[in-house]
Amino acid sequence: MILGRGSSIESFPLFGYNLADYDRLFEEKTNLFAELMKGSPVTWQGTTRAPLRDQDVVPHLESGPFPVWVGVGGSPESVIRAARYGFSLMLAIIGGPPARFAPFSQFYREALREFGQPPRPVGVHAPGHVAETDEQAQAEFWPHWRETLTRVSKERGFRPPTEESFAYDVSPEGALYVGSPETVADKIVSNLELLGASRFDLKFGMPGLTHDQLMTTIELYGTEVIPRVRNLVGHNPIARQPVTESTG
Amino acid sequence: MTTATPAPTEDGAPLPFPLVLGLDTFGDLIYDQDGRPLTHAETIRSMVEQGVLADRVGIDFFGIGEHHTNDFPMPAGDVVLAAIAARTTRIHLGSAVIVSVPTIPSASSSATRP
Repeated sequence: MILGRGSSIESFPLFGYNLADYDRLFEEKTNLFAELMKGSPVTWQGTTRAPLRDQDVVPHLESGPFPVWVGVGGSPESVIRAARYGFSLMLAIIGGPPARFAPFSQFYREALREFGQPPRPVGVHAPGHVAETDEQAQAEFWPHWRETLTRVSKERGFRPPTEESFAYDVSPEGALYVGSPETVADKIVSNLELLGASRFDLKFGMPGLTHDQLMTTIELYGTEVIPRVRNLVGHNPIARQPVTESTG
Repeated sequence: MTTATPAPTEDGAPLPFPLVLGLDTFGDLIYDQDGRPLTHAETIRSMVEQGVLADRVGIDFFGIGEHHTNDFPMPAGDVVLAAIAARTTRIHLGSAVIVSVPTIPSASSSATRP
């Protein structure tokens, strides 16, 4: 499970929350979630919901706490929060050079030590699209990336994408994993190493892409990108452990 | 259980964690070949097929990120994950992310979402 505050804020009016309470809500809900992970019964008190006293919460966890990650988009407070609760760190990198997140990994490891927590894995979540060739992947992805990001940029106040910025984003130094299986795999390997991360989640899709294009991305990611990544980092291609085994 | 060789870090020291390679989706609205948007329901049904394919081609993790907009009609990804879970055997399913501010654990929803 990956928790997050959400960089999209449409859930606040939808659920009747005030955006001014963003930090307090996230801190309290994370705190309560950490209590729930310890197992029932739960006793908890805060300011954002009614208190709980010896509350049985069902179903009881079958095999103990499951792995919890916190999605972080660039807030050092969120890194500290993840370390304090002993949750794993998922870096959401959707723009700019991924290299600028390297200090976050380092900071997170130091914070875990500071809080007396055991080492936890770091992951990377980033957008992308896979097709047979770089040209095809970029041609399919760019119009929809431009349209969605242009709209989001107005809502959130950042610069809309241009052909030049897109060319940078899909280059080896940029944040987007758009290209052939080989291009995408090589970029994953280099950024996992750069960020000291052991997990990569490709955020695939963009409003406007077709079902067939998404299915092709999934197929190429599973059959070509992943074997190449495992091979490049010295893995047996079929060696795999479930996420729960040592990341909990 | 097969033991994976840890991935190397930049200084060559082994990582203590297995390599995990997954996919995340936000329920991005799907269009047809002619550039017309599918319905929200069609988009969600397609996502179940996507999760099933991800399992079949050996992907470690399939995550769904909560959104509540016309372009990302995915308010309750755990329900979609349950549909995928019914048709898969191996892949790990999870949230990416579940927006914990309103959702967890409020009076209106379960504290045990995936």
